[in-house]
Amino acid sequence: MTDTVAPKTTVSLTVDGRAVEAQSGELLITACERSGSFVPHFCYHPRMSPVGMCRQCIVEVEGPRGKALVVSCMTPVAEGQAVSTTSEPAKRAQEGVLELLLANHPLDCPVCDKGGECPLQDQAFSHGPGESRYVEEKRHYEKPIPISDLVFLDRERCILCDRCTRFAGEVAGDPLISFTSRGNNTQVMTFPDEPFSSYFSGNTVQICPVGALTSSAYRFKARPWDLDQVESTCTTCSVGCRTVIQSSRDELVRYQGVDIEAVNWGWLCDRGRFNFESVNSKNRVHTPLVRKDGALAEATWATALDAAGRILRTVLNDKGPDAVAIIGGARGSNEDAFAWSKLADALGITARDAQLGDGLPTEVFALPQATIAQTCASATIILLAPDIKEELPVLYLRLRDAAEKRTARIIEVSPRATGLSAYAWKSVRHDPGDQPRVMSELLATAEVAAQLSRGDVTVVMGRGNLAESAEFTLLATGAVLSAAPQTRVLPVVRRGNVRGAVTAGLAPRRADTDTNAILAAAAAGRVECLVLLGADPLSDVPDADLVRRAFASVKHVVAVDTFITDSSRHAEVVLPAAAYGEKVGTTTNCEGRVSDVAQKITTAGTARPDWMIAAELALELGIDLGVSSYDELHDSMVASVPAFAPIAQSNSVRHEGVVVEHPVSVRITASPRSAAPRLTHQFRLHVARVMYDRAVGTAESPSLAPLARESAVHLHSSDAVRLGVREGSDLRVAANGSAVVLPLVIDDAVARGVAFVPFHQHGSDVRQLIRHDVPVTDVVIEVV
Amino acid sequence: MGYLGGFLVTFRQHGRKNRVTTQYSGGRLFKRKKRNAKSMDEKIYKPERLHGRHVLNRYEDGMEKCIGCELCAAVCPAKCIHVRGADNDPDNPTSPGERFGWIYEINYLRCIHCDLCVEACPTEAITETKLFEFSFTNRKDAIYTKNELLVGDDGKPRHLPWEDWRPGEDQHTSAWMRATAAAGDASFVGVVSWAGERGYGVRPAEATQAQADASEAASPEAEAEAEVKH
Amino acid sequence: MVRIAAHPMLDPSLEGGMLWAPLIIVILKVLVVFVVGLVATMLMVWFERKVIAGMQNRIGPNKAGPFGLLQTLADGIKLFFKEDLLPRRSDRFVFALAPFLSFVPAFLSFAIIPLGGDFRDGNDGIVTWFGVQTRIQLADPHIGVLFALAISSIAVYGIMLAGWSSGSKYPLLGSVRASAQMVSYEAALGLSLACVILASGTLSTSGIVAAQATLTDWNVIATGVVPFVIFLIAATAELNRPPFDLVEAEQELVGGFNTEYSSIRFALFYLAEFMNTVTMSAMIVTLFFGGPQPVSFRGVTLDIPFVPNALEGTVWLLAKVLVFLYIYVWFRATLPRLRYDQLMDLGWKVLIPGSLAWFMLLAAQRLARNEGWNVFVTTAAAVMALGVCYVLLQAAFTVSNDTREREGVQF
Repeated sequence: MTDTVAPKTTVSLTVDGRAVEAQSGELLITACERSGSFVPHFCYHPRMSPVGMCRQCIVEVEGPRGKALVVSCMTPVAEGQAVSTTSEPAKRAQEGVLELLLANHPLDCPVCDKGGECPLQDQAFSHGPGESRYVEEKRHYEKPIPISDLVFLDRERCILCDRCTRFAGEVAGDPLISFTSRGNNTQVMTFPDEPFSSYFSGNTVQICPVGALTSSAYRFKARPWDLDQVESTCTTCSVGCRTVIQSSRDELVRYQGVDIEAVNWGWLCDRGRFNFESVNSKNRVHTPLVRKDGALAEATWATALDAAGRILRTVLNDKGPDAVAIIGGARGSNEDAFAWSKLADALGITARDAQLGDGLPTEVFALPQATIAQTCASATIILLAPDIKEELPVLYLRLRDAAEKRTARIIEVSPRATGLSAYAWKSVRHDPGDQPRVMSELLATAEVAAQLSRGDVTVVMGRGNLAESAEFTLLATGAVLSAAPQTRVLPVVRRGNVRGAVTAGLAPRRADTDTNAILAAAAAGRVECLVLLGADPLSDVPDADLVRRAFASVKHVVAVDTFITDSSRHAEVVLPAAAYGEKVGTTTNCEGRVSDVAQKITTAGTARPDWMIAAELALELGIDLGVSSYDELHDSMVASVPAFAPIAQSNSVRHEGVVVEHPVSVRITASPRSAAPRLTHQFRLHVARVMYDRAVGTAESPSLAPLARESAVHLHSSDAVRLGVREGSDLRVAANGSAVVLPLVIDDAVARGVAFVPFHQHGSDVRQLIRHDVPVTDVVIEVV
Repeated sequence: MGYLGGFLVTFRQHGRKNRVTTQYSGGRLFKRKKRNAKSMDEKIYKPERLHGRHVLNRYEDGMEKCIGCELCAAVCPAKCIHVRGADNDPDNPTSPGERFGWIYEINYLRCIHCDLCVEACPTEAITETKLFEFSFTNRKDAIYTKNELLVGDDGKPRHLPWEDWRPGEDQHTSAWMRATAAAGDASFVGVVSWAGERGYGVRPAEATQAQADASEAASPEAEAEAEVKH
Repeated sequence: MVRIAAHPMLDPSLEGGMLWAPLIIVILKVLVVFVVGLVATMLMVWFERKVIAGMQNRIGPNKAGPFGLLQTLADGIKLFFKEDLLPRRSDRFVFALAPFLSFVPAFLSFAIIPLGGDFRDGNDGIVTWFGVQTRIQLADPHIGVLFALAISSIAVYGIMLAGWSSGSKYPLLGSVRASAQMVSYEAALGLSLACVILASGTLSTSGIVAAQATLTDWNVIATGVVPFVIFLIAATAELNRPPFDLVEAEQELVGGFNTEYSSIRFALFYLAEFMNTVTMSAMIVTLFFGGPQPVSFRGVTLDIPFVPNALEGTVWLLAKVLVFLYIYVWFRATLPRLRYDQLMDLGWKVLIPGSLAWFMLLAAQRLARNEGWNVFVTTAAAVMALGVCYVLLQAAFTVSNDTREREGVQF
């Protein structure tokens, strides 16, 4: 049988008397809605498979066998159908379904979060019978019950539409909730002892058509008519999901996902959804702080800018521009980074880096790039990245969908099983540092070679292990590039706007002037002033020892930040910055898509956007950046940075975003060099991020902060047996002259010989073991 | 009444004893010992359903009726109500059910006393008393918080320092709610469809129009007296 | 001492040579008119507030001074201390001038009103002060009421310019409305005034007063009641008093023409309105009710005990003016405001034709009397002719209404 795909045919039908053209295979409900007839529905969702659970979308269809009532979400279009959504039988059916749905539905509208934006309310009003004949006692459940830390379930309100369970199973891959019991007692429930701790549980709250699922972060905070909203882009990670920001009384109250075909399909991860609480936190820096008598004291902007200006002027005059370095800028917008880059150019400062030594060299942006859509449409997806589910969750949803529904095949090379391992065609475990060799071996096999030749190949590359140098990932990628020249790359660097900051100019000029080099120079006394742009090196740079030494010996630190972090606590001047939702800008996501970030609330205290701080500091130093408003800055950026030129002509920045590119110039040479093999009594350290950690956005959000775990070392069960230790016992992990004590967690996802420690959790800091000039970290584990 | 009847109406008001305003209680005439302070302080009776200052009611067992649903804030045309709900503490619930009004503020500089909030409230929590002499002297006092609005343990409104009360004004605190409880549906007139109030129990139904006309025709004085005594 | 022959016009300044007594009399009169004018305004404000309060079951001002008499003074002092704003887009000179254009004509009109006099024993209202015989009014020009009409037209300027020079849209709307209103009602005013002049035969105020010696001679009866009614309504509209006060309708126009005015300028407008009210009441009394004349019917003249003859006229005038002031306040308390189109309709379609018709009727009757025709027949003929005109007028109105409806013009 030949593998031909039947050509898509167009089908003509009539809906409510109007002629409609539809694609063969399309559902009747989409055809009806496209033609302008609204069909009431609850369980149908365009991004999930149709189930026909609610029966609300019943319409009357006249076909060759006469008239019939069908559920339009389960019926495909066919030639010659005559559909009526408003005929007598269809109306009676719709009204009947609503009456039945409302029969057991409690009279909770005044106290229900969904009241005011509830499809059940709206459709009962528009398509309902108007009166109920149900006078009996309604069923009762305990209400509400928490099914996870973030989500509450009210079973009385549930209309059993299957949306949440379908999402959990089909989309998120965490089938932790499903229907239990039967008949009248059917209810949505979690499995015993397994809460609904999915990273995407917030989406079920958004898609639930009634108030059965409510989120603890938003519960009772406001009503829909209190809310005022604007569309924006999330900048928690570099996927850049499109969201709407909703506020009430000048406080952020909720984020909802917006369906963008190119990026997030309407889904958000829980972290990005609920970290709005950090913006409203009382711990925000409201006024500039200047160090006086050893402590940071509140000051006016004039005083603070004067102090910062004096510091910079002194250092620049005495030691020259090489003594000043700028770290950070990946948490702001493109315009923020551009303004600071301009200031740095004017001052002659070349030492700048938006990444904190925990990402990839910026040369990766010059490789042939793939967008998320192109990645998901590729025939082969090679993962040389951290656990996508932990770091860029919505990208995980896209990749999972690509593997499950489409014909993409995932080849995963990582030291630990990840969320995508279950969907990978091949998943290879290895020692950290061994990627190049493992990759080359894989590429040499016939199977893989044949797979690569089937179509597009995309390498999703990121910094999978903070305890090893980034060169191994680059070398492995190089191997793929040489084996399959049509390969493209999707660099998944961690922070929200790394790409934008790098494009705008906050990138190191050479590989040896990156953050690690800056900190080394600071430790050696060559850099006397550090400017931190929303960066927290003391917490985020993998080589903690280096940072400590740098901060100990650097003379001045000027911090621009939203909170007092570990690093800004050492600063001489802290300038309060406007947080997400408080400033206008554009951001660039991992695929290079530029979309806008909107302002919804006024800034806290006297905080200002980063670009404004740059402009004022420039004026203080006698430089005119030529920027007096956001629009001027934006236009200047578009005009000066060639890569951003496409966004000038396009209005899509306000919705789907515009993909911008770096010119292609770099070729990474392949050589299957790997790290030296480890000694058998040692373990190779694998440090990677997990979803909830002590990052400022998570830690300052009361609903997310408790989800961060304790730091622990994960070993394979056979390694634990070898060491003779049990789960929970303290282990002393030593390397490079330092040691930390961590409890043990037995985790068979970890490869043998590898010790996995999640990054930036409470408890002992594993970064003390990492050295930036040591390619891989081999640790010795002893029982305490 | 014709064109000229109106003139007679206004002309007849001269010298009437019943005035809506009284002498200043700190004024010259009032202070003169010869004058009877009480008689100078009399005001005409207030109709039973006068729209005055609001109160937040409680059930007979003391639980607050307000569930923090924000429907009053939604319907308010002057946008003068600010409500935030919160979860009830399971050990010590403030209101029956999941949710109670945690923040409840009315800004009386904006309130137009239309009583749409009273009609919108699903639990009869917010009603209006007949107190309308509550001249505050600064903006902060103008925003009545939940503590100031909530009725006391005896079901009576809280008497704030700047309010000028007359006897009987704290009594009829929910007349308008009961009058509009049926939303005008004739078949509900005379039917008790509300819960009991702290300190007052379940109030009787309002008289139907026919009953009211009959009683007023029988003795208008008694009717007026009854109103005052209420 | 100068011997004066029986001359109806006694204006000392017209006599040759300056003597001390007449000069002092003139100065005295100026002072009196000025003071009386201002105090009357003050008391009028108090009177209005108290009476309206009484009609509304309230007490009214009772704090400033006994019975609140000094309330107006207190308000004036407060206004004096307010900030005097000059809007940026205003025409400075005209903005400053307008209140005075409103205020001054009120005094000027007051000047020609006879404020008293001795009308007993054949004294035609003439009294003797310092040996000089004079009337108790500041000026008695031949053109009398024409002068008053002219001066009240200048008051329109005041309001018109006030609104225009404010440089803001509500005052402009208010003043445009005001000027249209005042101009339309001046026509009716003038026509009913013409009836009075027809009956009295003279334009000078003292002559008009002198012609109303007995009750039946009072112009309200002599001209029929209609001119009086029309004059009353037209005067209310001239004064921008309720029910014709949408010029300053707070509900629609913020403050109308005086929105942008504050402090003394506003006080002047406010006082001008009340001054005009007093003046117009006095004018009505003078024209229709005999002014300072006592009530005298069939030879019986009412006498006020304990008041010397010279002052009796003033007392009578005061009583009559008080009645009309009360009537104005009564209007304010009772009547709702007229809508602008209703106001214009009333002015143009009812009052002007009405007063014109009545004037024609009176003129016909006078002609008949002069020529010796049968008065009844003449009146009947006149009425029929007027009836025809009325029918024609109604037809014209119907046609215009139909045209308007057809073209869909809104009011």
